[in-house]
Amino acid sequence: MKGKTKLIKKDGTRLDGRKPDELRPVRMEVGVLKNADGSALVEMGRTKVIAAVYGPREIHPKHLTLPDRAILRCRYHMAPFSTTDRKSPAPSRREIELSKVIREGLESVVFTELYPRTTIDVFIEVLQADGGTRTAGITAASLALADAGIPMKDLVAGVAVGKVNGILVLDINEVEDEYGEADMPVAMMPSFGEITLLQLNGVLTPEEFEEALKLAEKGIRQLYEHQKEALRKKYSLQKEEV
Amino acid sequence: MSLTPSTFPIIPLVKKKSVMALLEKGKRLDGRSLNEYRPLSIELGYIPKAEGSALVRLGNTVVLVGIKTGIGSPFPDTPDEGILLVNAEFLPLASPSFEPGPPDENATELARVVDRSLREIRAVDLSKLAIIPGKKVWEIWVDIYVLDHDGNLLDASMLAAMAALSSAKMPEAVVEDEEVKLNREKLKDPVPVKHRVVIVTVGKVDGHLIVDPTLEEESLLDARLAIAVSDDGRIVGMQKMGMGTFTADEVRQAIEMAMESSKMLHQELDKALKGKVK
Amino acid sequence: MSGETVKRFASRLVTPGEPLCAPEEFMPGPGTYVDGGHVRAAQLGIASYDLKTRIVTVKPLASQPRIPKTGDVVLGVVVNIRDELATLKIVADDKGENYSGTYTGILHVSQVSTRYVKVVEEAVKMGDLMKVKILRDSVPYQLTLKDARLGVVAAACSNCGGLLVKTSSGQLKCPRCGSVERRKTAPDYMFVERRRRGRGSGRK
Repeated sequence: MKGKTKLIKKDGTRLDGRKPDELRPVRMEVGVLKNADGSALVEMGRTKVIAAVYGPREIHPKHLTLPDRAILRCRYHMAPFSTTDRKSPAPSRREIELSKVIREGLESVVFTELYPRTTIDVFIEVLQADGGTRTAGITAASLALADAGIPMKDLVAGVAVGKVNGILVLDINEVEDEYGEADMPVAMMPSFGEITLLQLNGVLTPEEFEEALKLAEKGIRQLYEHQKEALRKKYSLQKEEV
Repeated sequence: MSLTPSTFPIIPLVKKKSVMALLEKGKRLDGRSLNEYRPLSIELGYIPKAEGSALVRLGNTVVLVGIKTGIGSPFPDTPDEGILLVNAEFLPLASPSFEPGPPDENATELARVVDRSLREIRAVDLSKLAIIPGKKVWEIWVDIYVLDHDGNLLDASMLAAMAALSSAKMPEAVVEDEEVKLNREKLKDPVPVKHRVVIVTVGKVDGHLIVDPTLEEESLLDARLAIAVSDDGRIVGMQKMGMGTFTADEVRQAIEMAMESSKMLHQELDKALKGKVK
Repeated sequence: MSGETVKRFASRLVTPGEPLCAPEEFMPGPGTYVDGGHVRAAQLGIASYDLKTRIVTVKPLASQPRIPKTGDVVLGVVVNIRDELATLKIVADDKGENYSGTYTGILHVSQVSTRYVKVVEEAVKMGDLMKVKILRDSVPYQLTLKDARLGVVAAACSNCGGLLVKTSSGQLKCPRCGSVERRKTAPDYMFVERRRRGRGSGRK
């Protein structure tokens, strides 16, 4: 099946009409939940992800405490109705792994040393899945952290690059992920260009990897502008009061 | 095993004083009267990928329900009927007090109360959901996702479940040699909803009865009584919750309040579904 | 200054990571950090450049994590008690504003009073709501009661659970069962006996 399905049309556009280097329509909103200390909603096309941050707060059980910094706890979880066939709400092996790579993708941006012996909890819920949920998740999580007022080195934005019918494409959706030859989620600290999350599922030549990374960076730059815009939107009203 | 919840004994008691003083005057902390709901909104189709979905906001409480369908085997005692399954997740992002993990007793109770309120009146006509009688039937999953907890999750969940079910479209089922395939590209028949049901939860605090308690109010309540009311004005389910008690008179009064409020909730459901559902 | 410079150093809304200036132009103040040859925002907030002190700061806009600090007077509930130690859950500051989450605090018998106290229970009991001061702000927080402002602000009768009322003589009395208990109360203890004015508080 892989590589056989036609995902690029004759005119060079993709099945949903996008050019290879084009993101899906992006929507970001900050402060969508009241209870959470920080929260954000990120939509990439039909992918819809919500993230919430609680903390810094005391850790239970206590033995997880670190004396010199806060710990991060991260849960990536998919809603049962987010997928085509219902997904059991019990955490899958995939969700456990993605929780880890997302947490590690956030560790380097949070100034955890400011809050020793506490935890900062990041909860990511995929409400609708159409490819690129982990990168939308980490993008939303970094917005939620900023919304929670937690000091950070930078925001984090992520996007998945794929290879379909031999062509590298930006921000793959579910069909392109399923029938394409490669899927490479990338997340970066946009102000520094440092990579905080990188996975590759598929086959690329070293040259293709170079090109894919450039493509990802291009997408991340655009997402970063959306992130700043979403934060400004929530806080610009407050600014006028200052 | 169910345990007495451990809470700080003093803080609710301290707060109770000011709440009680207000209740004596027929008022509440947020300015509502005793039988008044918070602002309510019902948004249909929030998750287009689900067969049906609804996002309900009740004050600051936010509940999302998604409907998924599948093919399953019928229960032996009802071979010609489909299966309705209700599940609730209290997400850790909804409240500082929710922990990750399988549904706890509160989430399980909520799902089962919603389930029974739908089941007993046969709100969904399960007899229309057999594909190959005795062998293959529809499974309708109602997944309740609590996103923000500010009290009265049950009423909000029931509204969202009802709105999602009523607006859901099932994929086309193709039967080939005793095997059923779903064509998810083509959403065809609506879920056969015969009755609409809403739940009104009445809380009791020191003899005062209130509807739609906020989270803060819930921490002060002696007990709650959830009353499910169908669109034809019947009581289709009840559940008493909380550690306190109700007198028979209080139950009667609570039912009266529920009947009154249920009309408003049914109207809101109607308004949301009008024009969107055939 | 040129118009360009004025624009560069005008206050504005910044997001974490945004470069603010070179370290040679302004020194990094609160809410900023230095990395990659720039002073950058460490927080979502308003960047302001002080042309006199040559310091750039970012004043946070998002509500800040509320964490108890050394010297703060806070409200806490006694959740465990031993002879020499009481454990408290710190929930709010002295104005009743909640912290982000709850924090564990420890009150040692030596910090209960300026005079000699043998066991903590002479002054506080399980479930008491107390006003305490923070001596050291690392988890678990070290607490003290050695201040006239500090003490129990609400307590329940250890016999029947009724809210204790402070009498004119300064004792704590249970209006339900009549038992009298000893605590170190704060001057603003919440329930004060009202003479012959209807029911005592906390009564059903």
